[in-house]
Amino acid sequence: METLKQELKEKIIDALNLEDLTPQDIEDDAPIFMEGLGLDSIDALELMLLMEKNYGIRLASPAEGKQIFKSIHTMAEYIQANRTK
Amino acid sequence: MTGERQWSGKTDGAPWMHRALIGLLKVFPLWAMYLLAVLVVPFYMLFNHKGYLAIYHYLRNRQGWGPLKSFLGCYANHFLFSTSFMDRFAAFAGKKFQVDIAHTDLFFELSEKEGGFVMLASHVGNHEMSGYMLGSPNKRMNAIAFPGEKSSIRANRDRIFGDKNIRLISADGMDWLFTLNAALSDGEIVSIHADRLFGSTKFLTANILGADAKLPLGPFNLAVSRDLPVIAAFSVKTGYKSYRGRLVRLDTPEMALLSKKEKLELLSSRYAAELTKTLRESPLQWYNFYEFWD
Repeated sequence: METLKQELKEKIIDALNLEDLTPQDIEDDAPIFMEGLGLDSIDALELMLLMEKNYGIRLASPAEGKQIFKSIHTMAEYIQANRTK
Repeated sequence: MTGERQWSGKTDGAPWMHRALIGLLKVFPLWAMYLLAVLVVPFYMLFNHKGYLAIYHYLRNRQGWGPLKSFLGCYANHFLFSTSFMDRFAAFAGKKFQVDIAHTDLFFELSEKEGGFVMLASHVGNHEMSGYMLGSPNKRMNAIAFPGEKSSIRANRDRIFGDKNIRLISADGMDWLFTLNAALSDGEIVSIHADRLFGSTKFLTANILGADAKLPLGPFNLAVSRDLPVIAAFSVKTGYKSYRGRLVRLDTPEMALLSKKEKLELLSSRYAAELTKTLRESPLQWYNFYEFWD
């Protein structure tokens, strides 16, 4: 799980061009949107694409998506349980 | 990049007014409603002075018109906007329009192929009119609607566009992003305006009519991140009950060799060039009623 979280942080930094951040700067339980990493709607679409391309997970349900994108921890948990890649 | 200045408007009129307008248009000819606009526009200009000033500055600074011509141009712009607005409701009321679109083959060619594509619209003329001519039985088109739009307008559009395999997605909150993502994953078409900042403050700078302006990053990023083809669509009013549109393919095979940043810059500059061309041809049909240029 820790390896997956680290990998996920690296992929997010790369996909969203968060050049000022390192994986160590991103807390596992900090909110991803708004006050946490401060991501917005464009970034949300990038994260959905990241999930699909890298882990074969297609997100279509807003209710489910909001739970998954709460933090790095919730994302990693969902990926571990549902990945097809 | 992020920008502070963005559109924060809404469509005018209460739902009952929209229903009443549709009712009137079923009884009276469209030109009678245009006459009404002739009288209403001066009051609208007076009370919506922010929108009026934005158009005045656009005509003075970007089109290079003199003060009097710009003032009269503002009136003409608001009148034309009113007629386009009424044309939309006239279509809801069942009236027919002549809409000629150049290069529709670009749309139908991509519709026949596998995978989705992105259509970039603008606030010039009346983009919705081209929707009556386009539409593919093979691929659903998802048109992104601004959250400020009244539900009565969306409901009427849904009713008319349903037959054309066009779905409207309202950009409210975060939910629509999941619908949009699923549509793109299913290889559908997404139509989105690319000349107005809303939702996200991230932008691309492009030269339009000789000055820098902020274009929203989102629509361009949508296409580049997924390597999707991009078509720009423009549709302007040419006369009573007539519109002329054109489609332009913006992506090219050579772009495959470029970095993501370069692709974004190239696509936005090509869109800006086509928008400039359209505004040179139809200067009075610019309906982005806020200070668009830096």
